[in-house]
Amino acid sequence: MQNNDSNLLTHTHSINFPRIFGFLLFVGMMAAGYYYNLTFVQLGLEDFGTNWLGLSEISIARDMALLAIFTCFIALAFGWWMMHRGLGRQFRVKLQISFGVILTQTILTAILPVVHSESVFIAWLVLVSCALGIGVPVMFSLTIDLVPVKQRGVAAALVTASAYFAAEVLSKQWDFAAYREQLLLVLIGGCLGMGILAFLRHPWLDILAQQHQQPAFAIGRFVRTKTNPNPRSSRRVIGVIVAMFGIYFVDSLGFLRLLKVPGFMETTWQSPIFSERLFIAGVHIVGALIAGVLYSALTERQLYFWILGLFALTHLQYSLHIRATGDMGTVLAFPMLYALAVSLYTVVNFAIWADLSTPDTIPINSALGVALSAWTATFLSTGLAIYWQGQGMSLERHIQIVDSLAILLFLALLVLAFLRKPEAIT
Amino acid sequence: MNRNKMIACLMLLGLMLSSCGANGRYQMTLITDGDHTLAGNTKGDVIILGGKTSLEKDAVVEGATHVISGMLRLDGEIKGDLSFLGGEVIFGPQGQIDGDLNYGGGDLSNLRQESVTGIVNAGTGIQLPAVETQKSKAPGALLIRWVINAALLGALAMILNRYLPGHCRRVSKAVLGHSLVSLAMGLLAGIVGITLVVVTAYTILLIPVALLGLVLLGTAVIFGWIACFIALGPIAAHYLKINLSSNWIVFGGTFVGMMLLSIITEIPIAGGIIGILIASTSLGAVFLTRFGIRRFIPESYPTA
Repeated sequence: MQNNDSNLLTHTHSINFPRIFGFLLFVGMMAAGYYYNLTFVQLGLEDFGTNWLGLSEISIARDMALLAIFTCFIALAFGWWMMHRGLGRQFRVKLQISFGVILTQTILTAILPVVHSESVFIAWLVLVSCALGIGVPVMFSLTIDLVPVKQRGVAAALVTASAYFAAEVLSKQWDFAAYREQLLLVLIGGCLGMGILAFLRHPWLDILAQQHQQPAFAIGRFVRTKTNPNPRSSRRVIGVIVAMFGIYFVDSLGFLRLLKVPGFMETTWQSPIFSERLFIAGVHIVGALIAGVLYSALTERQLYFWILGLFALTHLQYSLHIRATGDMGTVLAFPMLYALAVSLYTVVNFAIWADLSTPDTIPINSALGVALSAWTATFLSTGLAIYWQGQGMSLERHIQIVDSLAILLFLALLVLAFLRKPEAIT
Repeated sequence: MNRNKMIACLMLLGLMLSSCGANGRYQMTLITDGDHTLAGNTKGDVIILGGKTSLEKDAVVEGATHVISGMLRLDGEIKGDLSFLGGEVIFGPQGQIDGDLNYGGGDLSNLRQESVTGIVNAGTGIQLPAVETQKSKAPGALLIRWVINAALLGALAMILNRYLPGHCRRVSKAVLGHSLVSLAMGLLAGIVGITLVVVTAYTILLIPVALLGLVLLGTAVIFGWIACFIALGPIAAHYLKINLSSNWIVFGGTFVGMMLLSIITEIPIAGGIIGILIASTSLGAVFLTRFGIRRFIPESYPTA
């Protein structure tokens, strides 16, 4: 008899240990993966290009754009291939591919210091793109095996809170060498753990491999409605991709410029005072928990209103501050709002692709979602931010553009909400 | 939004904006960027947040001038005070301040003693009016304040229960039935709301809107409290076997609830945190139900 109960704590009147293990495995794996992307890939590689290879800002912008486009291409191709091979339902195969991805990342991270020219760096980026591109559909599709629909908000909140907390508290210096040192430890541990899970047999893993067959796991909350029990997610997927692309783009475009202003960073994210960084880390945790609760209670449209509204308000704050005082340090209220907005959308990103999918469509949906919106938007905007700075655009102008974009997206959502067709009431 | 609501909103907005009109009660000039030359008479105050401003030889600022950042070249006359917090002020030969010069920071050059009619306050030398030393309130006075507050809110609860029973019920259902969601929404709305109030006030022109926002936030929190106490009053009366009319139960529930809330928030450290959590939950419930206008129903999940 199948157990359709979506509660983590009960399994035929006892604690459901396999399910709790699966939940924690997902949270740990995704948090470590996101921490890697957040620190080493997004910040560390730029530092490596600038300070180790001596590349110009334009060259780094071009290389990062290449990384984004190639990652996106690989993710889509691999997601499509997984869907056609039915690998969305093959839990053990997904674990084995995940192991391969982590092993590749470990080797690539370890050998990066031997890279001494731009051409080798580009080749290295292509390999990283392959690993990341394969990792996206594989790891995100594990959501459907490991996290029941009702707990996806909570799981995403824990992933977000852990990754941002670690990134803020453990990162004293935002440089490639420090990140590499930290992440090699995490990656080696991850390799060992995932290797054991991927190739050893254990009854718990057999239970986890069957979970995607239960409705409490298999059918995402946005896939069917009371009025229409048939899956209908394609239009919604496109809408969510567009919204998430906009959000990621606005975030990275603004933040990548703000972090170049020592006055802003030294009083906030890179403050030498531990308690200030701890405060921002605490805001990330509170923001993630708020988002985890609200994700389950609100519609995705309402969540996007909040996220874009928060970004618009945050950049408006920075805009006014820059006009009044230039690049003088800011108070902690500024990063507080920023951290809140970032935590909100990260939680949504970790939960929503599985909730728009079934076990068959999760590889391609997560590839479309994460690669096309998150990766592409982040790296394109990173490239654009570096390019604008290289062209001498003033900080004030840059932040004004970002704020305008955030407001524009917010207004676009309002217009869409106004124009949408009312749902049928039965 | 229906037509009547839209008209009401536009009228409210119009009323607020009327206070900022050229013939209104207060007038000011805000300079944030670029090069500006002030000639002739400038009514009201001048606030300089950036850019370069030059006050011509025969120019007169009828109010006060505040330089927060940017540059001011002063060749004309300022009838009020000049408050200088940052940036640069250069006194020309004809530059004159009829009021005081309050100097907080920035570069001040060519200042002559005769340029300032009033006094020069610099650094910690700003003279504050003598204020009587504040003494902590006696426990009796605090208790009286709590009782008055609780009684006033009790009376308000009776009125709300009489005229808006549905609104109160919907808010209390959100608080009691979806406490976690209400708390999350309240924390989010509280943080964003307060920031929005500060940013709005920062524009100076929209200070009335900021005040309105602050009043709205406060009203929402109080409405949330009252709605909960209205719901909890009958339950408590049932368990305590108190037999009173519904009006008195509403009053009593709110009164006792407010007194308990006041006592709890006086506990060091934990009291403040509990107070914030309770206020956030109330605010969130009011927000989720749009001030009790509609019932809050969380998004549902597919069932097994």
